Amino acid sequence: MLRVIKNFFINLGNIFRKPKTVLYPREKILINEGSRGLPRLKLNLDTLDIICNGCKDCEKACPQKCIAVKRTYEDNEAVLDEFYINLGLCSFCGNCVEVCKYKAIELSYRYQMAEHDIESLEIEKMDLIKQAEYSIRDFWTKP
Amino acid sequence: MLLIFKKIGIIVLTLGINLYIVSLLNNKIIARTELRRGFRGHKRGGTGFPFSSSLKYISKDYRFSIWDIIIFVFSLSMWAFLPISYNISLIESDFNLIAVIVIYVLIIILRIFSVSCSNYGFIISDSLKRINQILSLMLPMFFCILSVAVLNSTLSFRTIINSQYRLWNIAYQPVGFIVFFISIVLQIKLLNLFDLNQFTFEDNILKEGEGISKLVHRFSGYMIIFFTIILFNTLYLGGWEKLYMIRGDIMVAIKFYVVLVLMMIFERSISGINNETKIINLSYKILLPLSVFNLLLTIIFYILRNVYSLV
Repeated sequence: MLRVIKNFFINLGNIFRKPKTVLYPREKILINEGSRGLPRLKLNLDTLDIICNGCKDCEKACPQKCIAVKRTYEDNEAVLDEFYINLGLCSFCGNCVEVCKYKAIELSYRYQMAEHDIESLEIEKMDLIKQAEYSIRDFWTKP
Repeated sequence: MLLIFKKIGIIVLTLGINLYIVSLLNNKIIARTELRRGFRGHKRGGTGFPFSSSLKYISKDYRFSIWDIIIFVFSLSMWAFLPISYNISLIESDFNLIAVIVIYVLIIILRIFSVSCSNYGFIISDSLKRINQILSLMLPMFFCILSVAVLNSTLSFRTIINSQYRLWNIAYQPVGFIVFFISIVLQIKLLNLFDLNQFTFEDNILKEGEGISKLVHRFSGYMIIFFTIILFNTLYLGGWEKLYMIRGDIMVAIKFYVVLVLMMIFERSISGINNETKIINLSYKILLPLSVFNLLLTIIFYILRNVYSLV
């Protein structure tokens, strides 16, 4: 009986509270800090080179085996050749970010990743670099 | 003759306007209790939603069965006996209360039969099970109505309302008031009338599909809600008796919407009672004994007042 009375007042109060839902896609919510979206490859801001050298630590740490990395050597220095992520398999666990010694990869705030065909879910190196604009929380307010 | 047509016109217009407002309010309030926005997706705050919703039903399928015609006729005919306001009553009789209850029970039984026909083919055992469930909830309600009839020594709505000019029946029948209110809310919950698009029960009493048949089903659902509120208002809250300077008609409207909103919120609050067994247990273990106790008290009061002239 007490529970019913309590529920009654909660429901009555809810009528006067601000609704939690938004009218997607016309309105969007501000994504919580630390939310895990599409991974992105970071650049060295001085030289504009990719920080990642293709050490494959992320590939080994990935529980879903959705990361594929290839490295080459230029002037005896390891550089990243190819970097693929299959978003159809990715669980956005963030292990790749944690194991990276060079802080070369991070998760952006991009959450809209629906595609028409399964091949489009395989993201390559250049696409992962372009995700920089999604690393701010309210990216959708920017033109 | 013209006067009757005028009254029929007023009743249909009143029902139509209230149907629009209630269907809008129902979806808005249920959305807001769940902290959802409701109709924001539609233009002008979703004011055209009831129209678009009804048009959607008509445009899907135009076939209808004999059940639908009977349900529709009964849904409208109950308003000939149950007066909404003091000058909008078509049939004046001393037995209006009985006529209205018979029509109400018939509508619910027909709705259940109609659903059984559409959902599973005609399965009579299932329908009888459902009717048994809903009648078990109606029993406390009938005892409460009987108590009010005994208290006022009449079966006419007009006399019941006129006898409340000094003090509403809620003051004489507080137990009956609570039992009646809980009973009608539980009936609405069991029939799932407020939350028409969602399946809260495992096997609920709703018609499948879309089309004119479904529209009639929804219409009869809203008519049952209107009926229970107006009956509640008439029996316990003074009906169309005016309050200070406020006119009777306006008082009816105010009480109708206050009770409606309270019912909606209360219906959402008893989410723990989410299956038929719990509802029927509540009815037999609490509501029925209370209503019988209330009836006995009223009969004792009646005997003391009228036979021994003690009260």
